[in-house]
Amino acid sequence: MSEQKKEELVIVVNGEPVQIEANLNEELVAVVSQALAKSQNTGQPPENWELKNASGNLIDQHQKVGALGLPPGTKLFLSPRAGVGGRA
Amino acid sequence: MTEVLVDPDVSRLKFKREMSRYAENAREYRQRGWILLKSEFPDVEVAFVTPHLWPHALVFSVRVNFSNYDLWAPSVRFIDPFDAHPLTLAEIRKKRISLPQRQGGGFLIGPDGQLQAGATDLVQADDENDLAFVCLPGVREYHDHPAHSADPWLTHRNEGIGSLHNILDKLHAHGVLCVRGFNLTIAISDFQRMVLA
Repeated sequence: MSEQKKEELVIVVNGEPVQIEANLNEELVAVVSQALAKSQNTGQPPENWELKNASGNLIDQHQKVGALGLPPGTKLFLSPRAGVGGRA
Repeated sequence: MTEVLVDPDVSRLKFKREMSRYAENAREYRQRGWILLKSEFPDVEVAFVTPHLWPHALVFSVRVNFSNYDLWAPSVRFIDPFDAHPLTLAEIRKKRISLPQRQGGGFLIGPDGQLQAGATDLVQADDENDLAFVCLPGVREYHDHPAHSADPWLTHRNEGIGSLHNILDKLHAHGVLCVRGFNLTIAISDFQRMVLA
């Protein structure tokens, strides 16, 4: 059986950094779930959160971790999806 | 003067927690163009710059106020980055600041920099001489507005939408990342003569 390749990532959940050991073959949505559980943000499902890179650009959570080619220790940022506003 | 409804020590502690999280990510925030101008309870002031465009432009600055946090959501006001006075909607329009949002997500701004059909502006005020606010859940002025009385802050309090990170992240997404270019002409026409001793 082949060994699962893993990598350390830092997921910043609403400003709070959480260390995650990510399997390179799993989708990012699994990493998001882990980070939410570890930071005790379990009130909303992963699809209600946005994953962004350090520049603030959105990342598709259905990509495999390995496909992003992230160096170990990379910081990714999670924040709740914005509700609809602008109609005061 | 703001009425005190939450023990200031409690709000101060929560403010410190937000600022310590900010400090942990300060390098990445700075790379995004978030420049911390001031942090003194209950206020944080941040300027937003465009690191992805040259010349870098300071697009807008905000003051996030954590009074009575988190019984109240944080307040967000646009401020002048030089003298820190809060800006009215008329002043905001003069500076051409907007935070476009399309229903269902995404942005819709035309090549002329104007909002296109189907886009709304998250910068709002009831009157152009009123202070402008950010009309977004998680922001005090949104929840306090009569138009959003059916969407009270206390039902969102534990969702994380009122965190400093989330508020700054949304302002950055709607106000900075969507700026793709400038169309301007600058000519420096008159230099003061300087005599060096």
